[in-house]
Amino acid sequence: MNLDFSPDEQEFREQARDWLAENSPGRAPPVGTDERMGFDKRWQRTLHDHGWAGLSWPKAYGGRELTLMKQLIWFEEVARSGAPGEGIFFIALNHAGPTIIARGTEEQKAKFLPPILRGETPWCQGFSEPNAGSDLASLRTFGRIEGDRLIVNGSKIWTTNGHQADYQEMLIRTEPGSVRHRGLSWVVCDMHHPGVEVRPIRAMDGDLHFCEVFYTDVEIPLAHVVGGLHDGWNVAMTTLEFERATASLGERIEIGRVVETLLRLARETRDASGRPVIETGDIAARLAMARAETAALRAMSYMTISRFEQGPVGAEGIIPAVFGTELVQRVHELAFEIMGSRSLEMHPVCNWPKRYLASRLRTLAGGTAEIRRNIIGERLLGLPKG
Amino acid sequence: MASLVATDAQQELAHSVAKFLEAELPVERLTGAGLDPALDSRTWHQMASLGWLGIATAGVAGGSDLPVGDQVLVAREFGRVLAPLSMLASLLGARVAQAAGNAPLAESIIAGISRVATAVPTDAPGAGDGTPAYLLDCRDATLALLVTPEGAALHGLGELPELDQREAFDEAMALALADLAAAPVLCRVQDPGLHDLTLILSAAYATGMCEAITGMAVRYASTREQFGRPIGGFQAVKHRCADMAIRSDAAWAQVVFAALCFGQDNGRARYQALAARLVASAHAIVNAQANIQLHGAIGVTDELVAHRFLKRARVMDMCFGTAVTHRDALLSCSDVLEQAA
Repeated sequence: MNLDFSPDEQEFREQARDWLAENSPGRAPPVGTDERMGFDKRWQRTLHDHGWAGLSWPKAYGGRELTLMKQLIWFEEVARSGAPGEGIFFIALNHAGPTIIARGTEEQKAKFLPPILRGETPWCQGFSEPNAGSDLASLRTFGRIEGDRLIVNGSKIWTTNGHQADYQEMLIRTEPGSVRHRGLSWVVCDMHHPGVEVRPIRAMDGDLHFCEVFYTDVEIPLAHVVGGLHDGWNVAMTTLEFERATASLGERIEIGRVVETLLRLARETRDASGRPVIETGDIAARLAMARAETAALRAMSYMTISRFEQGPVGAEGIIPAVFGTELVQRVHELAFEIMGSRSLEMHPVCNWPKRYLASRLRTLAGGTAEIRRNIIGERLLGLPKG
Repeated sequence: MASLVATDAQQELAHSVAKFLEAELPVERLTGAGLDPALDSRTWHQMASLGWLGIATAGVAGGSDLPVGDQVLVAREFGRVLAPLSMLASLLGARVAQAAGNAPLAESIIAGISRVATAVPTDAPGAGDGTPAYLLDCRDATLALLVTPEGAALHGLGELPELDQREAFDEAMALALADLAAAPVLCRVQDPGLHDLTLILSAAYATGMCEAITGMAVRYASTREQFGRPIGGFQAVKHRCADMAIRSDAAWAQVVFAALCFGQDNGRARYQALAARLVASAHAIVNAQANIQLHGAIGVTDELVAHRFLKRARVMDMCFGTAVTHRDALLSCSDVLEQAA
């Protein structure tokens, strides 16, 4: 056990800090979805042009191939500076990209990876279907093999940023008559293909977080199958456990910034009787626990990274994911209450009510908190399957 | 490079402590017992002879001054078996005595000759005048440790009249009311670090409890059958167990982080120690309550040790400052992100 950063790591931290101080947009990402996409693309492009893109990616594919500890340092500095997160590039950078790197052909890598790092092609994920949510293996969208292409029919749902993405990583059934985890393929769908119809779904906070996507005789070249035909389940799992543990490092660190902002707000904001909100015992107590739990979440990130350095990490990567997403929700509940009557208005700038509503998605996206608890219970604690 | 994982040598240390405790101080010893039988002088001296009471102290006979990372590993094992609170107070008391320049007293504590109770100031009804305090785990104790945010003091109990014994919430420990003003200060140290170390070690103890409780719940959920199958197969039960594991992991990560910050002496220890204590202590309480629920009616009986964990978790939450004072202190710290290395 030690908390010693090497001179190299300290130098990296200083470089990151200096660069962010100079280049961070210095304001929160805009709220509207189109404005947000432009903002995220410009920021990713800026990162790319200055050598800060793809920190976790291999050098061979344009990344920096940094250690997990340096990635964590980067996220700490991003949070410290208030710079934006990965936004619309989250799936591309943390899921689609790493999967192609791990299982793709050289042609696929050359075609898909560079535009991600340059901030040109946001990706979305096409896993869930109307009848395949937590039970993903029951998915039915089918790709019929015809010559050198797949003819895809079916639909996907809860596709985050589906209306803005250029590509979609899809899990579809390609072997006729196959059931469950067999006979699936991991394919890349060009969202601009004829036959792809995207219907954004308006969420309760008024934003278009995700979409329904319908596929009618969509032609996808077999060359866009990643990691072997009918082996899609394994391909999807390739990066899943790694992703669970590390993909959310950025937002886990970022929540510390949110808590500090709330603390400031609670000191500055007065309730109806003119008293600073922080002097309300309940608010103060919850803010203190939010600070303590945020510290614990950060420590859990350090712990996860420490374990990765020693060897493969299995399902335990899920534990910080559950703790972190629920902490984010608690923090936003607190924000809503600190703002008091101001929370009655959906204000374009003071947008805590909107963020509160958006935070409810956190325990659903990428696996519900319930499914994750099943995994903890069964795989880590050895409890029987239900 | 930085790592929060115990090294092989550290794991060996934790394992050796666990092995002894499992054999000599299994938590089942408390089944149906009143006062903790581990408080008898044979067991106490045995533990002292293993050097456990000297792990936080340097420069005196028997003082091994282990790195704080090692100390939390030992304290976590103490928590798993609900080792006497006076062990924690004694190993801290030895450090206080040494820091105050009283080497003979430190050595006497480390050797298991002088035992240290924990003083908790109180305004309980009937507490009397002066500086009333509860003395926790005070059986055979000759000293009482009082920890404040500024430092720590050891009071001598020898000159007090017969102690005003009270019935303890946690029946494993003897409880008395005393006027600390009448108990002379033998050692006093102005060192906020002592407070932080105390919080970190008590958080490690609470984490050990969190983990032991999780293990107890999982074992029961795996074997107890209803409706023809182990109850751990039902999500309502499984998810409770998962929550316990999550709370344990969160507490341990933060305890280690705080211990390493403390070891670096980099000004971040207070914040991290408070966070560790708040998280671990709260999680121990919630885990203990959940474990009782998970066991059904047997969970509230005297014959199961589940209630012992709850009682100890509540007591730990009141020692060396309370959750209320710790939360206030944490809010008054500066922004931790500004303190990033």
